[in-house]
Amino acid sequence: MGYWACGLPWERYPEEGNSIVGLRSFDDVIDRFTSDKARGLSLSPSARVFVVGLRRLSYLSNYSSAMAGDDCVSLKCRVRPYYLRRCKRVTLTNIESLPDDMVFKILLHLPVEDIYNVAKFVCRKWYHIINSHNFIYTHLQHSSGLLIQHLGAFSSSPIFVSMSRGQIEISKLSYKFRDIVWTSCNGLLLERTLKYGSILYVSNPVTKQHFALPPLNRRVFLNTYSGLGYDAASREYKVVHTYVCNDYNDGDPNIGCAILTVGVDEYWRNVQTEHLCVSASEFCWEVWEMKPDTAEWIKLLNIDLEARKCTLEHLFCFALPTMFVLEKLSHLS
Amino acid sequence: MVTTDEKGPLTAKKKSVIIRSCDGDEFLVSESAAVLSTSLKKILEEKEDRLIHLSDIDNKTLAMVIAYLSTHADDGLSDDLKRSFDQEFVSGKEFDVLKYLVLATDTLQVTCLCYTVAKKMADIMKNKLVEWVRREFDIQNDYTPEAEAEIRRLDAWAWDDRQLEDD
Repeated sequence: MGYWACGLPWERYPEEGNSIVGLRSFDDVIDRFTSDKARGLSLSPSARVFVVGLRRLSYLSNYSSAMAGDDCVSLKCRVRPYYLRRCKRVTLTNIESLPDDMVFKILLHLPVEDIYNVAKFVCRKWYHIINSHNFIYTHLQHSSGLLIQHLGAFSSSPIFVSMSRGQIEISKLSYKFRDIVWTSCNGLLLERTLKYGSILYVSNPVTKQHFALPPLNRRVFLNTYSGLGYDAASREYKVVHTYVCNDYNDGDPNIGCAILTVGVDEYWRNVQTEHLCVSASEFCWEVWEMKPDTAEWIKLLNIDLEARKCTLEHLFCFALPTMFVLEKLSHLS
Repeated sequence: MVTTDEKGPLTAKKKSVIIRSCDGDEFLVSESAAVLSTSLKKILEEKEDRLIHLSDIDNKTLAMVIAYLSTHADDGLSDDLKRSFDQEFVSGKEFDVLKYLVLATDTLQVTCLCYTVAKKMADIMKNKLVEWVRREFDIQNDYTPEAEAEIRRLDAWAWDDRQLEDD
């Protein structure tokens, strides 16, 4: 009967008087353990025994007796030519292919390029795994990083910054960004072209897929802002757009707001905002709502970022009041 | 020294579990290491049996998993050290070995190792050709040429400049 302790094989030969002749190390594991790097690490006494002991018998015999109990105290083993006997892996259960949930777990770590260029074409099953909503969502949760755009220069392409193994990696996407990148949400961008009467696009800079949104109801050029939001309940993306119309009514600019569900709506839906009022300081926004029957103003939830002011200023973030209201509206709708 | 020799084995024996692989070889593992595997923990909670037979994990894979568990059960090691051990543990291993390892960790429910191994496998798969992936995963191509062309057409993609490897 063979015994192993802590991943180390030795075999008892009672009939041969329990004598240690030697040990056969376990190449894969041990070579890694006993690499110079591992040995150089400051380990606790017991760990040192473990790491070093994999090659040095004197250490190991101490360790094994502590580990294995009285059966093994001063137990003497002999070389067991493990790999000579068992180098062929014929006894293993043959894995035709890994179960679906394992494939799922592995593919989660694969970059999007490989998923789209390679993994998708492996077989139909993989294709269905990759295209499942669950996979897309979980893969998104796995990725971490920020798309950073230099403010004030909309024409400069955003760069992607991520952390990996304690290092910051900056990668430039080969995607050709459109004129203005408004916002991003779950890896999707909301972009706008200045040409052709300003069309909004929802695009994926990694897969280079893009989707043109229906044209806006009115031709507007002044102070337009757009935001993209994800509605987890309906699994839909919504775009909100505010604008100031050119047609002035009695000198007051006509401020409007329109909303669109991506891929569903064919027309923008105008949102009544006359009953809403925003008062804002630099990092705090108050939203007031007027009851139409009583004309009474009621304060809605605040958007208060005062506490995080330092962080925001440090990151050179800035936001316009209208943009934050948009975010809020997109949650409401 | 004498007292430790007398006491040590007793306590050590109490806390040890024997795990038998599908090849019939047995591994002596401390209980603190064994319970890091959710499956083994459940078995140990249910019955007092000190011998656990794992019918679908081979020697080599089981030895690796146990080496991993023993290291992680060692309270004397810092988390940083364990993390660097994890990196060392999966590096340099063949894809085939990792495949068995990922299955074993799934069976034994060693979530942390399963994650590390799956990540390593994905790292190896990066920049590989479709043919390489099919070969390593033992998968038959069940696409008709028309179906494959259709998918390529639907998701037009622009990474033609990438160099894919076949080994």
